[in-house]
Amino acid sequence: MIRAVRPALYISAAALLLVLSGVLVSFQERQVVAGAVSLNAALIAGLVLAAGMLTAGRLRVRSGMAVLQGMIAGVIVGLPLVLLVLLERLIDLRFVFANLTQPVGATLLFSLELVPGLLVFFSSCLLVGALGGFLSSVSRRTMRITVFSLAATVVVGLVADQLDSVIAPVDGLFIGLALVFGYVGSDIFGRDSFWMRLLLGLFNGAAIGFVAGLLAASGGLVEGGGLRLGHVPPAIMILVPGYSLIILPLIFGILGALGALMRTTPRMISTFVHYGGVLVVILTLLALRRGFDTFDAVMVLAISAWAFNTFPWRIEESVRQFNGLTVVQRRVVRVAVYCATLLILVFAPAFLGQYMTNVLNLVGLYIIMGIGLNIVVGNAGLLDLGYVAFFAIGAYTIGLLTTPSILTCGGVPPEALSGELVLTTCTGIMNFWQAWIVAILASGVGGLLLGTPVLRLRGDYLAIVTLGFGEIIRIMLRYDDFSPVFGAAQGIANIPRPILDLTTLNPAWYFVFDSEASMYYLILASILVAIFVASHLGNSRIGRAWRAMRADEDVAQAMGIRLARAKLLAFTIGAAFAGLGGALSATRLFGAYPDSFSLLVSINVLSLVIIGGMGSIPGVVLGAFILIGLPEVLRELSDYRLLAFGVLLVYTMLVRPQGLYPVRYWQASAQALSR
Amino acid sequence: MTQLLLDVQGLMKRFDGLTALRWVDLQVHEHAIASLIGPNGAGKTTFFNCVTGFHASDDGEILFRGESLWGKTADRVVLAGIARTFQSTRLFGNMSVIEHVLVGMHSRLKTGVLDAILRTPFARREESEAAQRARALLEFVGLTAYEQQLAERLPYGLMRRVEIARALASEPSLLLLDEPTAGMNPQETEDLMRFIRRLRDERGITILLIEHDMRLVMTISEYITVLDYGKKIAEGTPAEIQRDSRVIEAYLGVMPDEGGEFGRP
Repeated sequence: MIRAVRPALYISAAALLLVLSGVLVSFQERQVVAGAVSLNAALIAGLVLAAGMLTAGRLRVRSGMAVLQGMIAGVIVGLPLVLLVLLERLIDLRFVFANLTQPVGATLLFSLELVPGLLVFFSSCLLVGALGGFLSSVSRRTMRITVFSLAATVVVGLVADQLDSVIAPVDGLFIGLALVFGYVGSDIFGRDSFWMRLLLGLFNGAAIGFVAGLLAASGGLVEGGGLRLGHVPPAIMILVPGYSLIILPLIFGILGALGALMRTTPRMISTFVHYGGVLVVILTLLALRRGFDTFDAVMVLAISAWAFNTFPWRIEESVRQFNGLTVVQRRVVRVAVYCATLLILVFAPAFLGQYMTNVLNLVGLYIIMGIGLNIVVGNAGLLDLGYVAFFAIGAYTIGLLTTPSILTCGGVPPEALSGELVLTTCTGIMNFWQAWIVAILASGVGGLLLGTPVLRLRGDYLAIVTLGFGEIIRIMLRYDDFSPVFGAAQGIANIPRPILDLTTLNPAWYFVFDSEASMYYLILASILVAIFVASHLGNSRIGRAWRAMRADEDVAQAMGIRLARAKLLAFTIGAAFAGLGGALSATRLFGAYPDSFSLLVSINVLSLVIIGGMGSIPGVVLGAFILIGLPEVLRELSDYRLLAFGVLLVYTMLVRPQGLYPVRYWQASAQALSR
Repeated sequence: MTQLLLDVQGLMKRFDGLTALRWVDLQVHEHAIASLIGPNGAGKTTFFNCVTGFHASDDGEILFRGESLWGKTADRVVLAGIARTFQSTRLFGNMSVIEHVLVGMHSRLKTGVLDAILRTPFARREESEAAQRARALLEFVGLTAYEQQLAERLPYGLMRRVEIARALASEPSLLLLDEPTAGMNPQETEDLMRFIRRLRDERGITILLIEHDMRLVMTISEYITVLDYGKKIAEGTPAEIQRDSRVIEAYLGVMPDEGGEFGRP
């Protein structure tokens, strides 16, 4: 019995902790569903539901008993909270728990009086617990669908007001239509011919595009026109000059073909596209409405329940179809998917707006660092806790080389020079591109220098030394005695944005990377290069050597792998990636400041590598979006980012030590080798 | 007599006061199957470790084809043409069978960092040739069917074969096998014995093995060296070794007919 209720006890403790630490109180204002469900209610309900499910799930009893078990779990979680509210009436909890800005009762009692409030709260706990118990007694599939849909609704609800401007309804509508018509329509004449299917998809999509073009040409886009649904102007049709009746069908035709292709894709792509497609539909529907009220919540719940219900087998079917394709057809699928991904990535800033692009850029920088650290930790197995140091080296190199500094002014501190003299003395100022290369090289050399003395260290010792190295670099940058060079706590300011001057090729080609969107492209390109380099290295003789070294150093050496060389290479390349990211970060923020290179950055990068899956590049991307992107979008939660990190790390270590997106090199290599 | 391949003279190894190897001399001729035997703790594996560069020996000379291996690290020794397996299987937990073989080829491949990053035609060609050779090798050891499986999930006997394949991948002329039959049933041992002969006959690889299975040792070896307490106490053909009183004493403790207690097994 105790064993059975143990999860409920844990969850009960967690709930108490959340309440007493003031987390719940601060969530009270945040609405998941406007006017109906606040975040704290959703959180408590989620905890009770989980408790009910886990308790009943452990006993594997009949449904009647399961409901009872769930209710017991509800009591276990709810009763302490009820007692807490009563206790609060007697003594002032804020005396001990300073974070409680409001009485606990205020958040738990549905703004009712004490007695009716407690009754309602307690009975809802019972009810939700019973629901949890019931869910665990029905089939696993039903349970999964329910839980996933509920979770999806809460997440969408939380991000709804931020994603408000993500997609214009008309864009979403037509993209969705083209994809769906391509997807569904490709089935009309049987499922057997791949090319026929592709052609049908193309045709269907093009038809949609033609309609869109006609509507646009007949004045649908002007203010108040039929295509001006919602409050965001459509992006695609405005991007296309002259509302061309050729280009729009072409674009949407490609989308339709893509929709048709989705019936024959490998698992990862299929999963991504199916759920991504539903997300587009949901966002489109939400874009038509402001806010996120009960109606929207029910709609999202219904759509996601449908999706979680039918998509698993659709995805299986798609994978099965893909496996039946010829080599050429598979290549078509792959190339199409690459092109589509690239297109989405290229057009993303146009849809996402300033704030989201900013978030993407931050995520992108962490992806670059993650890919670098992944080589050091994930491939070579060298635990580096001072990784931020190389990021700092990259940033400061850019700072020193692209602004008037002691380096660029021939050894004279620029403060000593008057305005006129700066121009004549500081002749060493480089443009971003030159400085970038120097920054990457400098970080790489930094990695080499750190790597050399620590070659013999393993595991914990290596972690300690690298941790120290990271701190040394940060403190050195802050140090007052070095302020003529590094600017001490003020850092280096006024770092210019990159300028791409191609006027020798074409007089019009003069680009200043002055906006977030332009930085996005620079960062995107850097990520692509980083992925290119890292994946090629990882799937080569060098990468094999690293993985062998990570698995067993002695045996690796006995196979002819030179450990010193392999380790230094990993350190150097990993550091160079950090330098590349650091340089971008400095120019993005117009400055390099010592306090932005704290240990926390190293820990963040390490966490995203671990959570994503050691050695896995898709894992790094996923990890960066979850660990860096999500807290930025869920602003209210960002205070508790570290708490969430901790929970997520513990969860990963316990339940999925291989990470969310584990790498399967033995399969990857099998694919590579069988080509 | 054929040419000397491995010539170890006066090898000495101490661990903090414990002398693991005491002036050990050992010669292996080209194309031979030789064995190194002795009771537990006699220093056999230490001897392997010294020859393959895992341990730095304290004194003595190790000549391989007349060239000194003294002071060379393990990766250099592989390059010279000596490969080894380990007493307990030490496979890479994150790799498929064929990847093990490819790692084994590491020292024979030349793809550098830039080649790998840019995936130059040279790197591609080398990689596909390496894969071909790896497949051929897997066929030779009979692991073709398991090529893409995670090596650590294979049955024990197959894991040992992966280890041997990995060692063979470095194209050695001398293969050191550290207790290859440990944990095998009689049938597997029989198979392995035949396999070792094939290695020598078909591939011309000289074999030096540490083994406890006396039947195997006596049948397969052409020359046997016996170590006890880090000292060489006997060497010769199987027939000679079987008659050698010091060997019997080492294995059975004091000679039974002289009375006294039994020593180490």
